[in-house]
Amino acid sequence: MTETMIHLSGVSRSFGSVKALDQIHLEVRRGEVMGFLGPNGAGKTTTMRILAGLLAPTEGSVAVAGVDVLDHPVEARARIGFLPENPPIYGEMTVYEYLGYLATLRRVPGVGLKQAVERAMERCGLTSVRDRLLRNLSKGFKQRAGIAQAIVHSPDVVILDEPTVGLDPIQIREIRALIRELGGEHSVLLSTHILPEVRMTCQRVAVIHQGRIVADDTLDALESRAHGSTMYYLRWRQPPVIETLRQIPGVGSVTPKEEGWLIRAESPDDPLPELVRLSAAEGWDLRELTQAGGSLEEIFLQLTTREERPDENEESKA
Amino acid sequence: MTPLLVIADKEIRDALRNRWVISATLLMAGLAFSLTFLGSAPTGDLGASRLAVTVVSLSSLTIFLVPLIALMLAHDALVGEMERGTLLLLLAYPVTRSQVVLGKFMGQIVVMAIATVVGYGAAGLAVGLQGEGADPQSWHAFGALIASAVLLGAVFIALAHLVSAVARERGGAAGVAIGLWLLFVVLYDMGLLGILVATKGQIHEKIFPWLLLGNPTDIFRLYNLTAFENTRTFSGLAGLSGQMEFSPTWLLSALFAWVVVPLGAAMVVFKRREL
Repeated sequence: MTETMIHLSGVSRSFGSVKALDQIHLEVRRGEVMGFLGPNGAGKTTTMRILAGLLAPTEGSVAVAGVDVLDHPVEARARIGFLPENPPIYGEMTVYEYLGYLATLRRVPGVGLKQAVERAMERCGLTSVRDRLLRNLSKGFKQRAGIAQAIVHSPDVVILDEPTVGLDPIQIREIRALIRELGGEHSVLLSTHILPEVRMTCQRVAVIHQGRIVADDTLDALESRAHGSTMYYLRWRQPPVIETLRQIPGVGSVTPKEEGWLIRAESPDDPLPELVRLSAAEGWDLRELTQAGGSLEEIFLQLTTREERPDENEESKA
Repeated sequence: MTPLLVIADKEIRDALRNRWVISATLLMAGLAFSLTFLGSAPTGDLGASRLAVTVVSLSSLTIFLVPLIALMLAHDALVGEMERGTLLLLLAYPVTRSQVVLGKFMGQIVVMAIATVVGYGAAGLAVGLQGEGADPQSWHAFGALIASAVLLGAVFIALAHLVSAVARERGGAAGVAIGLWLLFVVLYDMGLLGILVATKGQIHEKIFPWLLLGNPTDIFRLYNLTAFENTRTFSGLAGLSGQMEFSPTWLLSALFAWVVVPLGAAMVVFKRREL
């Protein structure tokens, strides 16, 4: 269970002057389902494309099942099953033709090809629509076909980029069950920004924010870590300027959220008493005060809404 | 099956499925039959074989038709898949980008070859079955016409692949493809005529033939109208062929170079392209 199937080391990627990824380190072990969380634009899709051999990193190394993606791209891709964000389908093909074509391209041997296609269809619940044209299928079935093509050759690694976006609740539940089932046999990297999805399907989670990995741990470990720092959401009728809030002892970061402010408390000082006192004394007129706990959503918010500081990267590694 | 053949096979199946093959074949056959039976009526008076006349007529038809079919068939080979998102999937598979371009190119050549061989072949066969004008040399010229028409198709498929590798969207690729057709089929020769008129025919005799090599349709025309004696005679180029700088082999090589260069450029551009 400890064999590393996905290994990214010091991976950076720039698009012109924009640094999309900055020194990414990531490992996924055999049989593990790892959630890859991040807000839109955080660098998830860029990371996925680098892993799938579609983009070259500006620096760093990438290996899949021990094969270097940059030095041996074709061999590495043979070990990967990839589902891009939008289900890539050939609408004029039937499900069976589509999987047969892609399995042949995957060099599934002729004798095992039929069985491989049948098995992939069975696992993804596509048998009943095997002879239907893909363009006539619902989005859920198209997504299943996309997943089926990613597993038809029994790859070591399956990379799924936002597999449940745009599906209805029933379809989402079915796809999540399928992803859970894929773990064990395959190592799965699941990119998503839907937090319940991670909780339901993943053993481990990496959080990416502004091109950096800001957390990489099991869900339990992340949640227990989160209890060491508290988030408050405050909303005033006459809010102070942000600098005033930053100068209050114990305030770690201040981030605007909706109509209020998300304030991260820094141990050991709790800024709440002072915040409440100042609200009354300065006439800010406090309308709402909520304390965030240690749920995955709150951890995610803590990790992805904190302000940029020179030493932040060091903190996240610690 | 290698990835190259798998991709080529899919291109052929797609063309069969969306009726490209049948449409192109019927179009070529229909026009070839018309030219064969309407355009070669005066052969009795001229003393040329009917098949030789057909070759000359089909040479002119081919210059208009084959580039158009080839460009329409292949202009969205890469950019179309990019727009549909399937290229992203394909390139995540254990295939190289060169294999994708070559596989598609091969499949489209087969489609073009089927349409040309069946379309033109049926017309040729009809002439042959009539029992007149079917001397071996005419058959040879007819066979060469079909082969060189497929090669001309390959040239324009290669050019279309280059367009497709560069284009950002299908609409743009279609526009450039039409522009290429106009350039090579209409404008280039008009330009050459313009040069001749402007220089009062004084353009250096060594330069002019080389200018013809700058247009694959001119190479095709020169090859088919000068490579065989009976077509030379009927097309009125018997005198010119004696002064020609280039042998038929040379002309075919030039046409072949017109396939290799744009296809190579398409592979280089596509390899460097970021998706």
